[in-house]
Amino acid sequence: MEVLIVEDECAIAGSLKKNFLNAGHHAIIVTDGEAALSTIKNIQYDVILLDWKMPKMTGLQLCKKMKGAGLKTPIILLTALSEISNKVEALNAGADDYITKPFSFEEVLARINAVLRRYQSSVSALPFGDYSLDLIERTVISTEDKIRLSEKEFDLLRYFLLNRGSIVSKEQLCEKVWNIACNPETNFVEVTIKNLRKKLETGLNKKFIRTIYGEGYIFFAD
Amino acid sequence: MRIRYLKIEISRSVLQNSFLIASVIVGFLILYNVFTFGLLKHELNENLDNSLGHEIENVNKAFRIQQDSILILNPNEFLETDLTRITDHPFFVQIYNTKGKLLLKSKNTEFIQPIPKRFYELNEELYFEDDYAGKEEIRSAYKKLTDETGTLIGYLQLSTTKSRLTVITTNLLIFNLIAFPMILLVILIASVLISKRTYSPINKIISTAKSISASNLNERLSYKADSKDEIGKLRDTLNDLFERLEFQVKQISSFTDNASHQLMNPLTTINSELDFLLNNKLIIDDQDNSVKVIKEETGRMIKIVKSLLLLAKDSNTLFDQKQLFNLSKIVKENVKNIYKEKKIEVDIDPEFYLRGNPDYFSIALQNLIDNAKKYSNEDWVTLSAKITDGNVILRVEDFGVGINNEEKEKVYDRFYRSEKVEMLGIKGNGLGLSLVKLIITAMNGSIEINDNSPRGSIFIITLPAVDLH
Repeated sequence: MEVLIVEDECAIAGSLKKNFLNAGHHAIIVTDGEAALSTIKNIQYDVILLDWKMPKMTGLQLCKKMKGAGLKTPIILLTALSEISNKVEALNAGADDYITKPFSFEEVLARINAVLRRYQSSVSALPFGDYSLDLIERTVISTEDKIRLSEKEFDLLRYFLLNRGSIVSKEQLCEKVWNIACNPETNFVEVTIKNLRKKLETGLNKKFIRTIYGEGYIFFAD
Repeated sequence: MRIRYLKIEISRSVLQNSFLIASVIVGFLILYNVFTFGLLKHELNENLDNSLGHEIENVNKAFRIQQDSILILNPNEFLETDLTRITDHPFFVQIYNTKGKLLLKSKNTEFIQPIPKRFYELNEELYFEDDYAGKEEIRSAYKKLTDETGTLIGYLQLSTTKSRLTVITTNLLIFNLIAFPMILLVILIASVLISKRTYSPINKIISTAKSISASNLNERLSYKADSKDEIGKLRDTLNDLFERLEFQVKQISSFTDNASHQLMNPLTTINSELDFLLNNKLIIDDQDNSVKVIKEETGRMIKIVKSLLLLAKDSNTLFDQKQLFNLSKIVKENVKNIYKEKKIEVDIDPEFYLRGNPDYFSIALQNLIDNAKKYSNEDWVTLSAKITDGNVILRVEDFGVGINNEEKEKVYDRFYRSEKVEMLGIKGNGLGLSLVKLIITAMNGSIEINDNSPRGSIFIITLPAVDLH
């Protein structure tokens, strides 16, 4: 396995590299975003470990840039503990997972393997529970079934998946999914949610979208 | 001390103030009354004396003494109603010689007890004296009677009852006795109200100051007052104090934050290097053992730094209003991932949801389970939850060493370790429970410790439940 480590702390990077070598993998260290962008042009990596806090360009910016350029390699962010509330930010930037410092090498390997498994099953999919949302086919894939989604249902489910565990208000959905300002008289949000619920919950026999009166909706993957 | 009166809370200082004001006013009132009473009595006596003096002159002109007998010059004077009957203002006349022989008395003396005859070596023309006729209080005026040569031959005594005067003064006294407690009560109530009014801005400042805690140190007192008067000065002084406090707290927390971040990088490296050593099969047994000890201790150090990092945070940032999580799922994840041995019993309804950051809640949960396991021999821990009054009550029960009653509050203090566990030699850093409390409080919850039976502790965590549809 080819691993790219983007980390300005040489000691951490060096130690990680040694561990990877010990486990039979090959790792390359770069210390800033510029170097990372140039090396991915030449070498096809299996996974990229990205430090959140770096000079010049933060891990988050670099992640957005790489994914924006169409990079298919999975990215795992290395973050400090105090940044764990930025989970949504990390997932929105296109990162596949994140690990908080300090970590043990076993944990790093486990996370990498989990991400790689997901990539092998579907190149671009957002998994939730035993299911996943195929971002290209725009369908929900379960072990035995495929559920087709309309354009807005797909956008809505994608937004829910990126914000899983967090309450999203109707206003938020209007703005982020439909790109329009919310009008209390219209009910397209409710209608789309109702349709999505029907498709997901009857097809998969589970409750994913829950309502919190007066606040909005929340998505639970399992 | 606080007493409740008519549902108005009166503080001790208000009461003291009121009593002070009331006693000053009442003291003044007493002095004023005594003075007025004396003055009134004096004036009334003067008045009486004047009318006695006036009348005695009139009577004196109406007769003449001729050898122990009276020659009435003006009989009309003696027939006046005041001298014949008991009127509002009666005058009793007695004329007697130096030997006490009564020469003449007015008709109305029959209606009164005998008036004592007095013989005074009078220098003055007129002399006034208080006296008693039987039980009746009277005032008498005396005039000496002389013959042509100027020798004293007898006395003219004119008396009047003092009953009218006594009625006035007694009435005044009775009125004062009744009015006084009422006035006292009115003054007391008035001064309580005035004192409360005086203290009300202070009370407002107190309640605002009370609400300012570590989580909202940027708030200030905004009570409107001239900055030159006492209330304004108090407000400004307190605001100044908060300013300095906020600065200090910010400095301390940013120091802890920076320090823990700086420590985190080398710790990550050490941990990673140790992983490398342990995975490397080349090291020999003795070294392997010591590397394992180092790894374990590094783990402890990481835990301390992590805890400090969280403890340094503003409790507001620990709470995420927008995130919900399933309690049973989080508990199971933590138990499954961290405690592989199956000695933890979990009994939690899968439909309980809580509001807050699940990662922080996991830290609290791990600390509680760690504690429960660490301090018990049996390794047996029970986690259960139920919903009461819209709250999720989570119970973490162990059968360990337990916590003494006097230590139940102290265990939340940073770095506090109970003597019992120190003696037993159980390792710990004294940060776990303060972290638990911080996280639970940030989630608008509370934590309580009860004794388990036959031994051990029950940690009871109460958190608002979320209603999902």
